[in-house]
Amino acid sequence: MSSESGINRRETLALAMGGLFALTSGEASAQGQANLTFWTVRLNTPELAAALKTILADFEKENPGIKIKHEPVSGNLVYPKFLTAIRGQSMPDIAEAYSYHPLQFAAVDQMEPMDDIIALWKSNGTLANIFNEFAYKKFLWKDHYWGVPYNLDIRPVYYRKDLLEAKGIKPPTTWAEFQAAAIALNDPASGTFGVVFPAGNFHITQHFYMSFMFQAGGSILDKDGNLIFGTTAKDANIKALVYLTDFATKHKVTPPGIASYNTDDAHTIFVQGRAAFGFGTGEVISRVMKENPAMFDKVGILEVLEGPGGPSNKLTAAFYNPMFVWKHSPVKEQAKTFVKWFVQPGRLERLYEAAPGRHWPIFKTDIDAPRVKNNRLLDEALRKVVPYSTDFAYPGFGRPEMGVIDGEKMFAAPVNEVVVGAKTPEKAVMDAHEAMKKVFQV
Amino acid sequence: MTAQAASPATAIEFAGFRITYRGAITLGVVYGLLLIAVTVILFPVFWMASSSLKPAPELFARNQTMLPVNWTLENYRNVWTGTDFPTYFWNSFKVAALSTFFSVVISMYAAYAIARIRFAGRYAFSLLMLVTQMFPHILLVIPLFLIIQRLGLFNTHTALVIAYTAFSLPFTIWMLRGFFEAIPMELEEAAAIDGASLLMTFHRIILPLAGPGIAAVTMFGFIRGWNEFLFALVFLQDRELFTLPIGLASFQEEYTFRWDLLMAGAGIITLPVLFFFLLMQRFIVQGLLGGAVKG
Amino acid sequence: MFLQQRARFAYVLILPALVLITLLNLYPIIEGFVVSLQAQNQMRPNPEAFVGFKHYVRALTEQDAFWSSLGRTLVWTAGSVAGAYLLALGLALLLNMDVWGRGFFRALFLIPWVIPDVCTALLWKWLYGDEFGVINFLLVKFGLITRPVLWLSNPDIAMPAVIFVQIWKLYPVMFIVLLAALQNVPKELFESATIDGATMRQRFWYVTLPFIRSASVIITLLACIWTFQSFDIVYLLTGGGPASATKILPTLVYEKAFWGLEMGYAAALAMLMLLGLLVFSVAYLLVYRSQSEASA
Repeated sequence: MSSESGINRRETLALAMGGLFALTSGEASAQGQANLTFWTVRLNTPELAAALKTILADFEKENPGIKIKHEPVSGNLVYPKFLTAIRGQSMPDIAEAYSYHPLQFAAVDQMEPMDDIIALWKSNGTLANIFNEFAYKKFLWKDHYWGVPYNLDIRPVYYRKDLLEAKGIKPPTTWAEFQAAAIALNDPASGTFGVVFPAGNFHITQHFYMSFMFQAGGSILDKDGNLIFGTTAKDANIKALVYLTDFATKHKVTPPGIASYNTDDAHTIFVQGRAAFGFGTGEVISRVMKENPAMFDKVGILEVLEGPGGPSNKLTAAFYNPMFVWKHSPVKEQAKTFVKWFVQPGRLERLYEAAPGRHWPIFKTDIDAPRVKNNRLLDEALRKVVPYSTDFAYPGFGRPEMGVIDGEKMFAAPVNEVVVGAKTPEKAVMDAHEAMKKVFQV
Repeated sequence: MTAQAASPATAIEFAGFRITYRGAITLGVVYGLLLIAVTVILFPVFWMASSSLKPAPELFARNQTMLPVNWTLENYRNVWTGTDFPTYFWNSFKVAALSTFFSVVISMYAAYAIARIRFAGRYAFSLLMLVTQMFPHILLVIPLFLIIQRLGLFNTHTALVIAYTAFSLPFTIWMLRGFFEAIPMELEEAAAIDGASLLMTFHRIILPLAGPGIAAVTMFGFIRGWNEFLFALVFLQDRELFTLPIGLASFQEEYTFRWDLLMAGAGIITLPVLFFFLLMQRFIVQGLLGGAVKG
Repeated sequence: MFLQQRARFAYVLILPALVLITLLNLYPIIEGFVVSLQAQNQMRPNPEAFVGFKHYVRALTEQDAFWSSLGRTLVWTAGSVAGAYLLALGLALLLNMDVWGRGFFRALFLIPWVIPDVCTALLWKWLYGDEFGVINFLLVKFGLITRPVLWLSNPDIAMPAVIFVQIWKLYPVMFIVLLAALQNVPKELFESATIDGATMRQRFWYVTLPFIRSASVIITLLACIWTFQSFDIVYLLTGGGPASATKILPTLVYEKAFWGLEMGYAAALAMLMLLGLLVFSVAYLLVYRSQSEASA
């Protein structure tokens, strides 16, 4: 898209009237003081907001010319908030949001390229210090980086060490072992299911499917960003879908109601000790610590499984969350100063302490933080999951269309449909492919 | 009065007079039904309240207890002191109260005009109000936002007061119109002959009779303003201006629901309105007692 | 002369309402119509390009989109409004009697109205759960079932389950309106009907109903309109699943507009919803008018 077409007539009008509301956005005042507005979507709970406040205070102390105003963007209506802001040109200067946002906003010419930050990181070794190159490659689109990763959101598989030991089962490392273990450990009479994962029509459902897709050698895009979900990757993706849904339909070792489960429901089942294996986010760790501390020592984190794709595909879906700067911000240089300051090893320790497991650093050198060493589950996650965490762009670069595909839950639908028996895996995958094709217009 | 309906043979006055055998059965049935309804309908609310008083480990414990084993106010404390809830609370109250006031006053006169005066465009106006209710709010939000900006009201409570008033009006006007129409014409005709002006007739005769109706739409307006989420989300930017539902929604992130905080937050949001209800109750009753509708 | 003055005065009385409604309700809808004729795909260049009725054609011809969602939306709306009305009427009739503590009960029955929507949805999701849901817990405990009912996970049960939540959320406003209307029923009429030997049903039909008919028609119509376009309860409870069993039009519009970034297409869907509601409302009002004229 040409850079002119991004601003429509209305936005120009809004800009012309800017005096009225520019006050609310960042603006350099006469004294050279820059006020930055920083929107967050995942740093809003009381604990995290409090931790963030102290970090921002540190920044302001080191950079007396810049003031940061933190505004939480709440609820599941993040998109309406962002889209109205774009239409009305009342965007923040910096935001921390979902994976696909920077590319989608770049597609409507709202994003400031972050190429200079990536170049700087390349020269000073920061890039080499990031766990996985997909962490930043996913933000590369049309030759520019539109965001930088600051945080890692992991999707580990948790297991109950005590239950496995009682049956003499070793922690599984392959698909076959995992399946056998889940079946063997399913014991509804004593209130434990073999495995729990969310299969409702929600975004999270797709993340676990994605892990199995990668492990089966499948993916959604190829390395050039072309859609291959139902073409060359079809067989692998069906294989992954069958493997995942068989736990519910064929082996019946999941809770009966997973077809309406969201993240939280699956977490609760595992945290309350009702499943031998549980798929979840990093938050399970802090929930176990808080809600069922007696179980902490009995919980372990599995190695990433090896599936039909072989050892080179020993991968797990994870999400490197972006920070991005708005193109129309009058203070984007200061905004970038903040991003560079914020995304550094050791900088966000207080966030990690506030909600253990929920947020992860993206740097290799953060691996040995004492905080992690002192918490066995964090340590296991860091060794067994973090190094194998890749992102939706794998094996290539990001596409803004993925935001639509994720947003409309196009690959959660197959899981949901197969679990309730509404479609065969083959049909579910092909229907999803057709829906995705429309987004790519191919 | 209606107790008679249930038992044609006798009149029951519950204060201990003349309770017949049949009357007692009727009363028993009525209370039985009420108790069943209260139990079924309020169980979720009870569960919410009980959960908000449970410590986190108990929330999802394997053996569920109806009441907390270890009562705690910690969830409330976390919400009230760990967030800006006190500010949100005041903001919500301000916005809800003002928008309720404006929508009731504006709709009172408009509804009276439609109910009592024949003027060209009367039907069109009624239809307009109905039609404007039919477009999904979720899509109205972008054009609405641009209007608010052009008015220079972005990031102000005024924007919310105006929007809530406007969006309550169709309902409040329709409802009040119905109530005014139910009041017999003769009362006004008598007054008009006396030479009272239209407005005076309205203020002195109609308004006192429409008490229950006005109480009902007041509640509607207040709850709407108090619970509205979407407009508040996009019209406001500064945290100091946020209203309660936005504060509450921040406990629900992409993959995280903070049940403990949500339940306590919901409790904090619910209680004042409940109190407000109990106050309004008396207005409804007064409207009933003062009502000379039967002439 | 007198009549003209009155008419002019009427315009003064409705002016504030007219201005607000036109500016904040009507104008955005017109804007929505304009958007529905434009490309407005946030993923593609040139959003303001005029595309005519392309989005409408797509909506009306595409499989598994508008029509199937419309069918589910009708079930959702009819079920919710009918259920809520019956519940509200029943409770209003009960509490219109001279029973002790009616004020207290009245306030209790209004509580669900006050609970914020996000809490309502999450609360019910929790109540409905298969493992930790207290409804299943109690049903099992009282021996009514042996295995948990999959309220939200069974495609056949999910729709009734979400309708139940909407009834719970919707009935209080109908209840308060009906209660207020019932208070207009003259006592004397009732008494004379009783003396004339009218049965309970006759008295409801011929004495009570005429007085609450107007309020009933209005409130059910508004409830239909609200329910037809409400989305957060379903969206949070089931996300439209399982297997699209609860995918109603508002959730489709929301997903297309804000996640799919196809604002133009979403606006066309919304205009179709408006059109459908409009036809329904006018028909409903006409039937009501002809009926009330017949009975008058």
